[in-house]
Amino acid sequence: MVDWHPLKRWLFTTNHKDIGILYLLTSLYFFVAAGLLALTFRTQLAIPSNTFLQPDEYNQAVTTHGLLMLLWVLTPLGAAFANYFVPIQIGARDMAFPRLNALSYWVYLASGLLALSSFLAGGGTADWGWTTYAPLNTVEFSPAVGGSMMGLALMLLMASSIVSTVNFLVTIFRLRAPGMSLMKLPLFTWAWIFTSLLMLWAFPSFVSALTLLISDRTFGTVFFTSTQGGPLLWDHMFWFFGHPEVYVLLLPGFGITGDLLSTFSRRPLYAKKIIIPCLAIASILSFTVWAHHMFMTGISQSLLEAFNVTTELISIPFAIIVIAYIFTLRGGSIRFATPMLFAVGSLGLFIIGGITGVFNSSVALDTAFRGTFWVVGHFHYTIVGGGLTGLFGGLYYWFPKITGRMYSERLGKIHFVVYIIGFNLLYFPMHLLYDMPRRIFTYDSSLNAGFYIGSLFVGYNFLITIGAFTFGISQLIMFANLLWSARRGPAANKDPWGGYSLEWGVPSPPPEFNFPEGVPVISATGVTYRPVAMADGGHADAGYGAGSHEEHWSHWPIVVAAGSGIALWGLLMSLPALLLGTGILAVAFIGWGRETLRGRFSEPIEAVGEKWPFARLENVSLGMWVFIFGEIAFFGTLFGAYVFLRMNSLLTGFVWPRPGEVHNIFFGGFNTIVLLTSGLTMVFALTFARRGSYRGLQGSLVATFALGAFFMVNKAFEWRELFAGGFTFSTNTASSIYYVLTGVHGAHVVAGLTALVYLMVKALKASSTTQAAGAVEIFGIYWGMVDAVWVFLFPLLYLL
Amino acid sequence: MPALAPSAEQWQSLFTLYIIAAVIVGGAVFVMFFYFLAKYRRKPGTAEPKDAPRVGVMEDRGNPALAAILTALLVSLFFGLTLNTFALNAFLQNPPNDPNALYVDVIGFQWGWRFVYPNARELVGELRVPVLNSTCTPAVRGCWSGTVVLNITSADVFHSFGIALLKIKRDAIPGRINQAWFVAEKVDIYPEAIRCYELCGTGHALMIADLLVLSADNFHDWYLTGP
Repeated sequence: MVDWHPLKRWLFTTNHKDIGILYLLTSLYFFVAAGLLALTFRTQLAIPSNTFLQPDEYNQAVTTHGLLMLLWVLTPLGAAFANYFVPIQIGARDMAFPRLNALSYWVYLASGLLALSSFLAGGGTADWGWTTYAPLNTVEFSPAVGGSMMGLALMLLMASSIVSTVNFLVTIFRLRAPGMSLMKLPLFTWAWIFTSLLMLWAFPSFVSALTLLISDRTFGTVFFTSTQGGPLLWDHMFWFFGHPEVYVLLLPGFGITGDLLSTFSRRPLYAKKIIIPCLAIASILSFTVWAHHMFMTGISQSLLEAFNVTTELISIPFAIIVIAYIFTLRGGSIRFATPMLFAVGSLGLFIIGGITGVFNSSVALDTAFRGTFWVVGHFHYTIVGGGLTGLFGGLYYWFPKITGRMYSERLGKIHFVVYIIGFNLLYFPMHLLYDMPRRIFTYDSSLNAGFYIGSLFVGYNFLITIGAFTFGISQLIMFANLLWSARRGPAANKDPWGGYSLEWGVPSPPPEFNFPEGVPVISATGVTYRPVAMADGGHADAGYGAGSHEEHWSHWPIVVAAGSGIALWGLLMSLPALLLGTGILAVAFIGWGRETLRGRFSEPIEAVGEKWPFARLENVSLGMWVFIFGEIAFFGTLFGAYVFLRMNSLLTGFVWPRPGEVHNIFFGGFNTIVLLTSGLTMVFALTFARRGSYRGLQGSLVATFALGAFFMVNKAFEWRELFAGGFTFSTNTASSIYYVLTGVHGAHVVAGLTALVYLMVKALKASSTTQAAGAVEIFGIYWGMVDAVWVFLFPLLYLL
Repeated sequence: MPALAPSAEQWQSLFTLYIIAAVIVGGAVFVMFFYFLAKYRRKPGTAEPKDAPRVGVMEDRGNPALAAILTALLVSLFFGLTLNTFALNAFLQNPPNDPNALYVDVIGFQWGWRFVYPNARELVGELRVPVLNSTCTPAVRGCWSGTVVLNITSADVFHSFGIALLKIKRDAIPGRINQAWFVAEKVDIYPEAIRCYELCGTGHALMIADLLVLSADNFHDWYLTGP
């Protein structure tokens, strides 16, 4: 690595491998935190009528354990490996947007610290379970400000994940080495593609649900307190995110498991060309099964039966993959090193979790399972058994690559044995407790199911707690092993396992730009390296990227993250902090923009490489399109909420305001024309930029800015009028959805205006207008989206 | 444990069906899995397979027909399971058209259950119902058949009403009324049989009610006059 001061390296790095290590350490830190929380409530539940935890402490521990493990541990642990290895596996020097990558990490850390600090916010943190059911999640029933803080932390985390998703998809589709066709990508990279696509659609839906929740809690809107919205609105929005989220947690580890089974059995993956479409089908189906979490809500039975069937269907692609994984072993020469043991464990535990999942698909069996320990047992088998076990396999597998040292195989095996025993002691008896409600802080002897050894009664709950501590202690063995080995372990060679992905062809640890011998070129016979050919026809002197005078660090990602963390904390806790955070953010954005203008992050583009199917798009425009794909999910879910409220208002007898009754159609129409005209001026700007008309470009940009700003001024005026007329946030669901929809749209306009300022400066500084045309085009895509959303919003809010 | 009601009985047999399918399918998969692991473990002195992966190379193999066969097998298995599931669901969802049924409004609140009877009698923390009376057919009037129909709702947050013994459950949601029904076949007192299955705040664990299955006469006496 580069010999920078360590502080500069770790705080300001934009190198994907350093960021991977940061993700790894941080996610393991949250793993320990969330694991300790689990041990507190398992201690509480060890025996009947225990008083180790108070009820509110218990609820906070359960909630935070769930949220941390799902969102701050499992996905980021996958992201750690994805950061470190996806660029190498595709044959790239780094991510497409290294600085955004650093931003994703620091925002992730900031969101995690915000989540943890919500414990200290006075009154404790969120205590409503990770599913955050309405209306328990409203201020009336959960007034603690810590709950809102947890909500904001989640939103911040979602922002980090969405940025990272865009980055990965562009990287994987645009930066592959010559010969690295999509089908040649390792299974882990494939799993990460689907994980990213799932996050890209599921996470924005969660952001929209959280937007409504925070809006209810902070601004007094009535989404979850009204009868038109209420519990079912949350249920639909949450589980539309929640079920794909399950696959987000599973797929990275599941993908690693496939690669490990192949590598350690010394045989090619069986039917990789079937596995990948199966992952695709499962990902699509994952958006069609959410209502199996709502079997008992009393919604339409035919609808629920349809969801029963889709839930069964989703097990088919997974069954095919499982069988393909098992067939991979045939004819092999299996080496049971620690990573392989974890891969075998992951597959075995996932099979059990998959089978109990079929039970859960049954709308009739759910009359017993809903809300019980059976469900807890099931999903831990899938996402801990399948997901985390696979990720730990990956941790051992890649440890020598990351550190250049071997871990202790003996301790690794001991870890595995204790892990598997602990795991099954912990989660298997939960299935036997299918009458016991989950999330109860205490139970008396009447619920204390168990069995007798002679005259000694052994409660399942007691057994589970023993399992929990065993499982927890097993992780200490791993930490001890890895910490010791990272310093003292024997040196590892390039390829200790006979791996097939490209990271095994480079030194351990890989140098800064990954491929010291040049660009990897993949052909049927293997990989060769050739000196770098730059887009401008020049050659780099030595190695892949060395010699180009890039600086690979930036101050700004960590500052943006700190600013947003402080601002969000301040939003709830203190005005000065809010102002401070906003100030820091403003400075950071200016700094970020200036850095971009100086061209510090304009990457040399490799002339040759696999870019199918996006060969004709620039990286940044592809990134913008990917982002807009996520925005569609965000606004789509909000529109869905609107439709839900409208339909429910018919059922509940709420009279939705007639067109023109509240909103001034003429004024709204006028403002629509203002915004659409700004879209037109944006088109002019692009035309002028391409034609080389400097004044035309400047003029059009200024006109766009002026029209956008005018739209916002009108909007503010409209809001003031409505407020004065008694149509406020909390008047009814019609007012609530109006303010949220126009509010988030307005926020998009303001973000666009900010970017426009940057664009105007760039156009001013560019030596030729065509140089700015790329940036103008990309902004044009975004601005077009903002206009298009309004084209939907206007009739929805004013005319219907 | 002997079943206490048709709902529990039928649930149990559906569960057994799923368990049998799971044990057969899961067992076959695990046997194959462990057999391959044992059979193809590395033996000293043997050469690597010819198509062993190496950096940049992973040969293509596999038979797509296998996926098709597997899909067909699973679809037919699921078809059988689903028919049974839908049958039980129809049974659990649709209370019999019984003029002698007892209708009880169930209202969940933080933290307890309130039961309101047709004559406005109210109980908190205790549900009293008549036992199955097979002589009380729809042709006979003015008797309690033992059919109990519950109209479940909530006064505040999202709760979930469940009687694990009877395998009856429905969410108790403010602003909505969800129906569940059962017939209890044995006179008995079932302490703490009724619980909440959705986290509803600090009292979630204590949201418990007893189930009292009374003889038709005893129930009627209580219903009209009793304490």
